[in-house]
Amino acid sequence: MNAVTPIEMEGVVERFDDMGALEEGWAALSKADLRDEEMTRKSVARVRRAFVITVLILLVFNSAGLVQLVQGLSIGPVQDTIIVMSETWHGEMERHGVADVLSDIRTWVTELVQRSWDDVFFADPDLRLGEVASGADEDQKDRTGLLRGAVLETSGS
Amino acid sequence: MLFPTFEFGIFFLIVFVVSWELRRTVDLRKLFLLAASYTFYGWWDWRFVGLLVVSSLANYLFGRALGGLERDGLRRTIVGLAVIANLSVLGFFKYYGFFLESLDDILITLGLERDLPFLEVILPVGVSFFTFQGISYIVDVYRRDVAAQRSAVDICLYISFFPQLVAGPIVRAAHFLPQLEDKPTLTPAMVGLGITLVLSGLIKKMVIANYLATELVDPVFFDPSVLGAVDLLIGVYGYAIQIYCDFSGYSDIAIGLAALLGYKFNANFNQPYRSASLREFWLRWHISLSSWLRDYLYIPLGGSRKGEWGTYRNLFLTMFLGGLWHGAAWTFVFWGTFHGAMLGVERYVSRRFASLAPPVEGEPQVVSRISDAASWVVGVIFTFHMVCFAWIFFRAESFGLAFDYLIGFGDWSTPVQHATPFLVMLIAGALVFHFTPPSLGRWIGEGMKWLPSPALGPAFGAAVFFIWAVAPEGVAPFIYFQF
Repeated sequence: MNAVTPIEMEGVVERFDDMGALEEGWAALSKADLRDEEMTRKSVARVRRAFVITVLILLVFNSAGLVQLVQGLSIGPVQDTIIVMSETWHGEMERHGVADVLSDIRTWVTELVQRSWDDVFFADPDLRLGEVASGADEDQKDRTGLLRGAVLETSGS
Repeated sequence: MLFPTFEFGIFFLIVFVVSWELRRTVDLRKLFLLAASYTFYGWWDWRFVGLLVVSSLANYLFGRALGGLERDGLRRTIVGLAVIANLSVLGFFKYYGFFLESLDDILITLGLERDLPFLEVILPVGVSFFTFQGISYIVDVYRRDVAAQRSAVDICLYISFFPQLVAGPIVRAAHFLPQLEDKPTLTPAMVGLGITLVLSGLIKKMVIANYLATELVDPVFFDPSVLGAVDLLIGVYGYAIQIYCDFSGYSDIAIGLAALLGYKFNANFNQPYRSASLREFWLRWHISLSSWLRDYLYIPLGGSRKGEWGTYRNLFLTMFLGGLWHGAAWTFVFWGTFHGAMLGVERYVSRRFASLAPPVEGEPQVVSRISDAASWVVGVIFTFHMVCFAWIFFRAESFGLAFDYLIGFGDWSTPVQHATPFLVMLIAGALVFHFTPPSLGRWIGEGMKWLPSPALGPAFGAAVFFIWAVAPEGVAPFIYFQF
């Protein structure tokens, strides 16, 4: 324990000549307690600010989630206002393209999830075993069609 | 209210802000946290808040009665009554249907069919966890490891504190109650650790566990008879990772949230799949439960003080009851029994091996190092596969499906249907994580410790958003909620 005991009330630290004369409502705190209190105050403020920034980031980039959340609210004038405000906000985010970040990431992940072993080992479709010949056939058919169309057009004119 | 939801996010923001505003009035803060915990629990079903309150108050009164008595016989009677009362609550809600169904099957087999009083009993979320915490408090008071609490609020908060209420970790009274008496503090280290654990828990649960569950484990265990060995093998590896990420993810979030509210919980998992023996596995897996079973069941049964065969019996009984604790089904009983039996076999074999091949004096250091490393690698692989074998029975809906699963390992010709590169990558990544330095999380926490809020906020916000975007849509409940 620390020997020095400053007197504190509502954050104000003072010293009395007569250390025994504590008025009601005053408390004696050790320096260690004051240090803990200050550290806690700073840490709480830091986390609070970090949470506020997190909420802002989620409101901007996940406005669709906000709409989904408020649609679960019961019916009432306040709830209706919240829903309208949320939808307007989401509309704005969509208009500026910010809401697309979420869907872009989801599309990329969905492609990753659906990728098969063939996609991994034979990334270039032209190099897929067994598909070279069929690919060539497909290509040939397209060209034949083009030629056929050209012939028909020619013959029709 | 599930952790990875917007509802919980809003709830926690309110609890965080208000509870720290009340930090100078410790009693008021505890009352507020208790009210918040009951709100959290009541979100599922308000009716069971009454059960939670009654259970907590009963344990408080039993504790007070024990604290005021000196006569050993009377103390033993009271602790016995308290344990019976706690186990009766658990037994009724969790095992009533199971025992009656089992009894019905036996009577039908014997040709003595009867109309039994079946009831539709709803299982209250987290009943196993808060019952075990109640027993822990009573036994600790009986053993005089902790003083009987004068404050009912402290006991109610200890049993109902929302981060650990529904799926642990099981917190010990001797560890948590003294923290309630002190003025709460929030250090930069607790902030760093709390944020890191919350993020790690979200990744484990929302990304890894949820993808493995929906894309691999659920379809593979639905009908294993139509799948080949590769799918089944990757499926059970997937389940091993899914249950680890699901449960340790929950524990990480719980420990992280408690740290952000100024309370310290002990770790519940410690890279379990790097274990080179089943004994080591149980020192690393669900640590709060295995230490609870050790202190309140294995040691009271006699532990290793009752001779060689007594030790095997106690190991077996402890794991048998540990299996039954997990769920009211014979597959869980088999799972626990298998672990109990194999722990006994492992103990027997390692003792015989040590007596047959004692360490050789003067053996070159290089040789002993190579042999240690080789036996460690073999031990890790063998233990992992033993654990996976038991997981098949833990996950399968019935013994029939579990046997279909095992039979399927003989079929290596059926093409792979579910084991995609993405899922194999998730499993491999999670397994590799088990061999990273054990202090990795603490190092990341140390890195976050001094980040100012203009850096911490965007980093945390971007991480939460990215996890949300990458995770499959919808929120699956945690596996351990059913226990």
